[in-house]
Amino acid sequence: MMSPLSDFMINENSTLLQAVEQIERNHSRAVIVTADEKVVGVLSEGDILRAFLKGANIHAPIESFMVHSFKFLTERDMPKAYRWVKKYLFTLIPVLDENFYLVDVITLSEILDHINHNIS
Amino acid sequence: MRLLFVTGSRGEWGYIRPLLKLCKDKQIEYYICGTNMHLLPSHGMTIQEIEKDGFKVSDPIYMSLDGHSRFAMAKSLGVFQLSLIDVVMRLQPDWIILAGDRGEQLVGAIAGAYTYTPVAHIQAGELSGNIDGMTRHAIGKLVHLHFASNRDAGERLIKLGEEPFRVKIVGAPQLDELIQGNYTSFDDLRIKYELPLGNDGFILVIQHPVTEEYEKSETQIQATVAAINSFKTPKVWILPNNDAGSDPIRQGILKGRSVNTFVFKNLPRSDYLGFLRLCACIVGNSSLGIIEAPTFFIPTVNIGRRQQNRFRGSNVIDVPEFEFEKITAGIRLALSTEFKKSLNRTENPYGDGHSSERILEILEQTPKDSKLLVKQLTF
Repeated sequence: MMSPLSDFMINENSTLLQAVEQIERNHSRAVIVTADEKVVGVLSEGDILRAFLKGANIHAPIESFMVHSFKFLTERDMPKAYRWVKKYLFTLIPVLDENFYLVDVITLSEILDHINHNIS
Repeated sequence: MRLLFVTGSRGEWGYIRPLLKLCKDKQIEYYICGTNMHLLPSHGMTIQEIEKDGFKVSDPIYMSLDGHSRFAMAKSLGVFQLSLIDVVMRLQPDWIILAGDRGEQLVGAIAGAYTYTPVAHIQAGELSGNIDGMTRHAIGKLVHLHFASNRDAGERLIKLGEEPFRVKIVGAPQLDELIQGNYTSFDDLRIKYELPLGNDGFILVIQHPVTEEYEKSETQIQATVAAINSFKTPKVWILPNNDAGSDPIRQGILKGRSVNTFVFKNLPRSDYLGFLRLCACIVGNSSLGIIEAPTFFIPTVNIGRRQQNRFRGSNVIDVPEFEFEKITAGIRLALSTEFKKSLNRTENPYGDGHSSERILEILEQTPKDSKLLVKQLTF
């Protein structure tokens, strides 16, 4: 069963620990960072690992570790999502509206379902 | 010919790198004294970048006392002076090469002047703010040869009492890398970043906090974001570095973002220049719009005071205040075909990208005699 959209989001003032907890909830190895509901970045398990390698504390704010130049879609374009997963090994792709509010996410398991469906 | 370069921060490194590349090609004997910020982990240990670029730092010298206070800074310069003199004595260079306006460079000028070792100064005669501007002119008083990037800077040196034969207008060497094509191509940028950029191009935006006005950063960025967003053209924003006042700017950019705004944190310089070469115009207050943009005939909308002392070419549209109406009017003008057309054959006032060659040639040909080493003040 798909988690609610709120499980994929985290406020920009959160800590690395809170981000890890949120990722535990959404099973997608990443969270989408928001400020006043607006998407400002994406933080993946890889980004969190890199933060720790730089010596960050688990209670450090996520702000300086999130990525702003992340890829996003404006509709559920599954072929494109699949292409990105193949190319970049993404596990979560945000779907945004015109003004950068999160309207949906595409998870790795949804993309695998999509391919599965196309094969069978 | 044996050259000794002094560098203490990433800034000058960009100026002297093209010159050092040329030294390498021509097998000219060079030494690099890397000091100050280059050796500080808190400033990114940029000495590693120099080594990654393929150059050996022959004389790393620690100089910075901790504390970030003005007193610590002034005292640190003394530490550097103690060590640099020994380097000069050991190497006995034909020339000490300095660049820019920082305290370490002034120490280099003192070392050269007092030991009668010829000293040349790149980026001489320009105006810059605060203590740096004073330092640049103090360096000018002590060195034997001035490499100015344009006529404006050259004339200022002569007005300051320098003998005309010492002033050489050679252009800004950081343009050399542009001319040599050290930028990423459109196709490579498109593939690398998968940006859905159409044929209308995009607006490149870089806004830094203004040090003396950093409490106004928030309202300033709001004006720029609103103005930029009133255009349908896609935007590529580069986030500012971590100076005082940069946080509200970053927040303002991210909160004003829409789906055709692409935001980047640290771009490699070649990608950065690739974006500059391809953009419809550049907006904000970066020196990129003043020094580099004219080489690619790119219109610049320069907002506020950050670049106010810099000499500028006809590609720059100045918007003195951070006001919505004025910024949008500036961008409209920049995007107009008439304005673009007017830039077709303009020359970059900072030179043609062949400065390094000129500098090396002058260094090789200038006789190191008493005319050079004994300075006369014309006033």
